[in-house]
Amino acid sequence: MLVIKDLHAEVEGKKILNGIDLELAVGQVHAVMGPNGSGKSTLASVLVGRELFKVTKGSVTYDGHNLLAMEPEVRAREGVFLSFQYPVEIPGVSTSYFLRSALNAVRKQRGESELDAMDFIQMSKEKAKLVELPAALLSRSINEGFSGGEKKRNEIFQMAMLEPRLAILDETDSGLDVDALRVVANGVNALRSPDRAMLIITHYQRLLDYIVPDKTHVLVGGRIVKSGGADLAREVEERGYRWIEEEVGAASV
Amino acid sequence: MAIAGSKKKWAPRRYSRRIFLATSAQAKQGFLDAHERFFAADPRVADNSDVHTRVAELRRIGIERFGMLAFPGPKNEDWKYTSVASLVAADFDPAPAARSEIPVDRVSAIIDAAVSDQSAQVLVFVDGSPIAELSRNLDEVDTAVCVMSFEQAATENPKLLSENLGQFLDTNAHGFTALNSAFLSAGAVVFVSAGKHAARPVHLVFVGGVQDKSVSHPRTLIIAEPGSSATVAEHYVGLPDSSYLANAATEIVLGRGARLSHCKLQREAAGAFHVARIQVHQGEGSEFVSHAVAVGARLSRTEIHVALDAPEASCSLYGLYALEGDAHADHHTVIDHAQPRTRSTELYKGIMDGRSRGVFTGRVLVRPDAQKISASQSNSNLLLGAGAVAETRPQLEIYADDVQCNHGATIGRLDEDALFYMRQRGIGPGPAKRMLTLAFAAEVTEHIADPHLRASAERAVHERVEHAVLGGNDGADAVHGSGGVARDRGNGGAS
Repeated sequence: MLVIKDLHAEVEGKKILNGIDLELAVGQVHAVMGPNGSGKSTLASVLVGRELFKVTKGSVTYDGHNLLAMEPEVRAREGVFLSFQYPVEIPGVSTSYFLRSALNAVRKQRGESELDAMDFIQMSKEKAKLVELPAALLSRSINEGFSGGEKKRNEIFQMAMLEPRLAILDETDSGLDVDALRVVANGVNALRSPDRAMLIITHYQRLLDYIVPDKTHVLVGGRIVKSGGADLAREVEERGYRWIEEEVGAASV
Repeated sequence: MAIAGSKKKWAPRRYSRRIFLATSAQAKQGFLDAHERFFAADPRVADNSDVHTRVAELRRIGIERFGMLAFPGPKNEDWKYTSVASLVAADFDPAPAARSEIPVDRVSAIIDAAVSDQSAQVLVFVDGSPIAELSRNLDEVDTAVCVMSFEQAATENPKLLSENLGQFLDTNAHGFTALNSAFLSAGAVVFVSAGKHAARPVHLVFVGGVQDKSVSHPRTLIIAEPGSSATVAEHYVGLPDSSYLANAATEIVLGRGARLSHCKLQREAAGAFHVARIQVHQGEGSEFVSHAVAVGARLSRTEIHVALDAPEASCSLYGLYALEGDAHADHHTVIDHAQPRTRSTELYKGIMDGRSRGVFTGRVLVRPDAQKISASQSNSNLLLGAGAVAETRPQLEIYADDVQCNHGATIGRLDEDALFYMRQRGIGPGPAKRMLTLAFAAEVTEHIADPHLRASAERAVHERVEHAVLGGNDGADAVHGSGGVARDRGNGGAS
């Protein structure tokens, strides 16, 4: 479903990604781990089309189409969803109004009819339960005054509503306490599906205790230096990133 | 405050002062001549009624002042960011517009768009003259509020005019206000009886441009007697494709404990010029709420002067200007805390697209003995167009020591992170920009208490934003462009 080949990207002239190769099949969940500054979030940003990041080499195909050629909103309508590391606060725009607009844009692309207000409310009540998000938050401005945990739950709630084919979770665990982490992880697990692929970007392994990936990749210096199964994440947790860096260093000598 | 954009977009027009002075003098002479022709020998002055004596006196004082003050030039500090060069060069016919054939269907449609509430009381003026046939529901007996033209007031309640007209309006400020008095003829009076509460808003609609190149001087007197409450809306509209000048003046007097909500909706034709001064005099414990919405005219200037001239008086001023193309809108507010325990809040916002320019000046004066007052002011500007400009000038002058004052001014562009967030959810850049812009505007319009008026103001803003964001030629530029000029001219005094 997602094929990344030799992807190079830079931000403001600084090279961040130095040749990423990754294949993600539908129904699979892959974790991308890496130390700070390794390019994890840049990878997420490039996949969703943030203008700040310039792709200098390589390709990304999504369901056989050139993903990089699509506008951000087109990628979203085609089923690419990003759970933001720092969800944006938008004063004056209610979550429900915003999400209904988003959902109808996505549904239109899928050839489905627009959802009326009643159906939307019904659906959002149901999906909000998934991440234990109080329904009252939906009538408030997007993320305004939300706690860190509420913001992350709101991201997963939106994912549940939009039903993406490819979900990218960027540091969804950051800033969450154990209870909130469990709630969010349960939500994500409930959304695992044979029709959906997920890319879970994280610094720590703890999220992967709850969301067990099919495959784990370790990103160092803008390249995937090691791939393995779920146990690779545990190994990283125990031994840190240093040993991989050393191993890579030794191999490249 | 951040300054962006290239300097060349803000080169002072070198088209010079000499040319301005010559054109301005010529325009001034035109008005003086017209005044001479039409008012020097007004036969009605001879009838000796108090009203006509008062009107004649105001005209005389007005034209004298205008003769001295003329049109404000670039050296007038209060007009520093608003040049009237294009106005004086516009070659208007200074004579009071003669009653002409009114295209009733077109004008009715404009009035209907302005006042959707069919059962509301509406007094309509076309090019300065009251038009009974277009007005609505005025004979309805309302014990709380009475709406009438000067003509009616002169017969029904002459004292109202002779005692109040021109009482508080400052004709010394600049030529426009003086000119309004000089050409005083028709006008509107809204009278709210003591202790009464008007249930619904009263609407005054001023239609301009039925005669191209015409000038009108709308004049309004609003008197809210002690303990009364009412909502009054002034709508300024015009025939599209016409060029005209509406030079309005409004006097508002609030008695002890009176509450008045005043809503000015400026939706003039795109080629029109609009100048308005609103002067408010407040009694003890009275409460004044002002809404000023400006989406029309090529050049507009709105001045609101509030005198909190008795203890416990309070005012809230809300303003919203949404501009596109080459439009220029200037809002100039002055709040005079003349007495102790007076309160004021002010919230003004601007949305500028294209090469438009929005100017805000908020002067707050706290006099030496005005202790225990509170004043807060905020002006935020959203620049959509690459060539758009916002000027903001907070001017706080505080001479008392036991006061609570604060102010803030911002000038910025749409939040890129918010835009991207919305696009990542599938919402296109146009609708995303519209949502963010309307949310910005709603923080002002949501304060309009009357639902019809609020809807009317929102519609006006939506139309402008829709046009600017989706119909504009540089929509993409508005998101990614780095142009635009932002200036903060405040003296920054806060305590």
